[in-house]
Amino acid sequence: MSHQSSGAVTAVRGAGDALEAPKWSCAFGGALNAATNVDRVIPITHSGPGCGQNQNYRSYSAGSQGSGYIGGCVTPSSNLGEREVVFGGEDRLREQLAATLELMDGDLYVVLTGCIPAMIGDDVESVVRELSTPRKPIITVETAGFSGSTYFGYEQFLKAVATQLLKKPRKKVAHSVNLLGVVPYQNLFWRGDLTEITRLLSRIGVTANQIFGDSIGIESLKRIPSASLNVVLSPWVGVESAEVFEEQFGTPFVVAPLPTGLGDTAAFLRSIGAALGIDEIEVEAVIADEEARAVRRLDLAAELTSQFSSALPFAIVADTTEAVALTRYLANEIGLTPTLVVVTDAPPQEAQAPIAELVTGLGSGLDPRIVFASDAYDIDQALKGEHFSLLLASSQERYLASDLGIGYVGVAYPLNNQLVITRSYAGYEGAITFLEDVMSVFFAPV
Amino acid sequence: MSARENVPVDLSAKTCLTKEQRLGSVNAYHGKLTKLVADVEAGDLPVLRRAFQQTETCSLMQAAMRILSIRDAVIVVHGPVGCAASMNSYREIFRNIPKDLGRPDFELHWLTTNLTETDVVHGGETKLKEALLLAEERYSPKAIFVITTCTTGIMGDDVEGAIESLSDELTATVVPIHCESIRSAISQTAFDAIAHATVKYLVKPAREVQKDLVAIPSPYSITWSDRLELNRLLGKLGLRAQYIPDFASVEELEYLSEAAVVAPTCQSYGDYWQVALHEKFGVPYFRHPSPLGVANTSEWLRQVAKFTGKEDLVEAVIAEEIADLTPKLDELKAKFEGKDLSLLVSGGQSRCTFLPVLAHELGIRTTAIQALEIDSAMVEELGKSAETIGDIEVHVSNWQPYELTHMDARLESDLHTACPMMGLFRRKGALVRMHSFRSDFSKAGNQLGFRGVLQYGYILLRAYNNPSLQRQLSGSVALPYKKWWTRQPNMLHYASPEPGAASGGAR
Repeated sequence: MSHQSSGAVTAVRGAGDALEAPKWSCAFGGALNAATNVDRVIPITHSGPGCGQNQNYRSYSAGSQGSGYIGGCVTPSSNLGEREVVFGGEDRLREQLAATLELMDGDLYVVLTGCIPAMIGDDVESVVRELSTPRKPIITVETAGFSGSTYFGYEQFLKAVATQLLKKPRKKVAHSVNLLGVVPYQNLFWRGDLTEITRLLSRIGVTANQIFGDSIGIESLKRIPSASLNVVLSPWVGVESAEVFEEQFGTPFVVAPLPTGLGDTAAFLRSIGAALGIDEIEVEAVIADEEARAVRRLDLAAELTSQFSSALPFAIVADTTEAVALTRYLANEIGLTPTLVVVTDAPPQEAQAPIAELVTGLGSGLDPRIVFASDAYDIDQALKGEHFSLLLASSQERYLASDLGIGYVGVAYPLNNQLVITRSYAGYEGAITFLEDVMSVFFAPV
Repeated sequence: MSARENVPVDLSAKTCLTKEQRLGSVNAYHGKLTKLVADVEAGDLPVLRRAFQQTETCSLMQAAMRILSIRDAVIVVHGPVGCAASMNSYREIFRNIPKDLGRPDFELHWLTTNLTETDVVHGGETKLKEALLLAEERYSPKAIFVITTCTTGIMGDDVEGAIESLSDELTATVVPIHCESIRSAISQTAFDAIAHATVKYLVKPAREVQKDLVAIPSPYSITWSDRLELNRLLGKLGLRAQYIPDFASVEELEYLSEAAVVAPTCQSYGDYWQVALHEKFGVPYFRHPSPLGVANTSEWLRQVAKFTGKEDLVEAVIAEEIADLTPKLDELKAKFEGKDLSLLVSGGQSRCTFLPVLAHELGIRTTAIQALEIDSAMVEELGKSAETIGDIEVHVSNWQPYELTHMDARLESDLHTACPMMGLFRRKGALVRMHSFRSDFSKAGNQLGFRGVLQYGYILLRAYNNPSLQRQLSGSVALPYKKWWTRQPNMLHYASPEPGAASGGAR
């Protein structure tokens, strides 16, 4: 393990190494998980036969979130085989695309390319250009699996939408924002979290376009250029898309990590309010109203929680967004002691120190150990070196907790023991849900 | 017996032939059962390809989920990170099985070589070696299974060479399983690739035949509670089961050569295990039936008894079981009486072959079967059922829910067993599960054996009696197919003969 100046530690095995059971997948998967969650977008996987199903299966590993309109086994696919490897896959793609336009009912068709067409050198764009029409537009997302991770694939989808579908700036709509950086399935509670952020922003007069998981389909994509601000909800995922949107549509962006709890949610609302020039008094009134309700609920929960909070030093193993939000909440507002924060999504080197900063000096000056690790063995080693009696992690770590006889709550992908549809740990509502889930593990008569 | 009797396997080869090559398998067909049987016997099965396809599965996924519960082994997926994505859940899911139901201790570990753009350009052997050494250093496994991918296949990585170069540094036996999906349109070729590699590299000559050991190739659909039921029945005959390969230790796999017989549960999955173990080590086997339904469970036990010298015991055991079952079964059958309940069976080979017979035993009519792939070995058995279940329609499709949706809309069966990820729960009647999965230890998860008939029978009954969830969604949730699709008559609208392909069927 090598030490960084921030005090955080980076595990030996990095994002490009052979890895044991990493929690993220490939670029193709990230883009497919994004595309299948915009209503009436029809993805066409130009890839091997299993790539689509394998990546769609992540909806199942994320708490059985369902396949929806076009996921699961339903996604159209060229299912490339030996013949295409030898003779090229363009004819097969042309045939598949024409049939897809004929059979599948959608508003936007998105070709996602896997490893095979990248290796055999298919000219996908020229096939797409032949068949794309203004009424049935087709775009291409280049996502060879070996070109990057889930997070990169998510950005590739948004960038392809910007450069191939939207192209031009549009008149800005005041007080409207796009929400970026919450990756479907990889962020387990993405749907509920986006709903809660949308609710909160609407309270301060801001219309949020969540892009994924709403019911307006490609209208949400079309609205991207007219937002007056892009809000990046991850400390690092979505920044690349926001930069492309800025260049292409002239939309500024703020990085405002997904908040959980009173303090961070208030700070989040203030930062968005300030960026959009919304009347401070209005924002403060909303915060006061939300906080009043949140505090009453917290007060009711405190009767049980206060008996346990000092007995629950905790470790968290999660993607940056959840690791930061949930650690800060439990440490700053619930009285728990964070001992270890393992960040599993392999943020780029330059993003690591600022992320570590967010989980340093918590509460009255608590500094948990911070490890950046994607390899399951590295994660296991990090956990073995710490004391904790609550583990917030993916279900991969669930049995470590049961072997240790300590509490466990699933907060990260993969999650195999809950059904997740609307659950959220974000904002005011999500914070109390999270506390319910944590304390339910320790529920006991006082 | 059919023409495929003498199709040998060649264990000196790096991997198996494809299912197309060895068994004449096809994954597109529609016709009456008797016609199918005639087509297969004549070697006249048309090989069709579809202009419109939906994502299905690949050899790698088929292989990975089946082998990753081997107890003291590590799996290395040699490819880009995404190929291993579906493996992320299983370790945890299997740990759900309570220890007091007999689950052995295990730690399942898998690695991905996580190939990047640079690796694709320069070759992946270095990273494969890195992963193998990591596996050795971390877990000292008895075996390491390497699963290859489309990407390493196209790159032309020398997997065997990379493994060989580490022979001094690894104590584990390394078993390379070739799962390049581009090789075969039949993803189930992976089953043969697992058996081929395991028998080739891992299984040792027998020390002594274990006369009470029944080896049972068990696919992912054999649940923990199915195992408990089969163990119970075999126990009455004084026999023990060794399931292949789920939850087996490496040592148990090494001595599969000592089994008294290899008994089937699914031909598509188990056939290659049987043939390979027989050819290399002389282990006897029988191909049919699966222990599914009353008559076929009885017949399965008789076959097992024949190879284990338990013929004197078996009839008494069957009689005792049937005496116990009959009143309960009669009670259940009475509940189906007069309902003319219809069932559309969609699934893998074993369920498609034997569930219609089980349903018939309960008084349920099967309207059609929809199999993922068919081959001569399956059809030889399926043909025998025609008299019992009628000359029903057979549809073959490697998933392709657009075709299943078409057939479902036309047949309007009371119950349909389609895979839930096909969206067919948005129908008027019930979508009922075809089977449960390896990790299911609940009583209701048992479908095999005598008790399984009751368990599954009651599931069918309850599904029929209350399809409220499906009704809630049917008509309210938009389907992704345009309206013309189900209004035109041809389910195989997009399928046409593969240019230049030999016919499928008998080999």
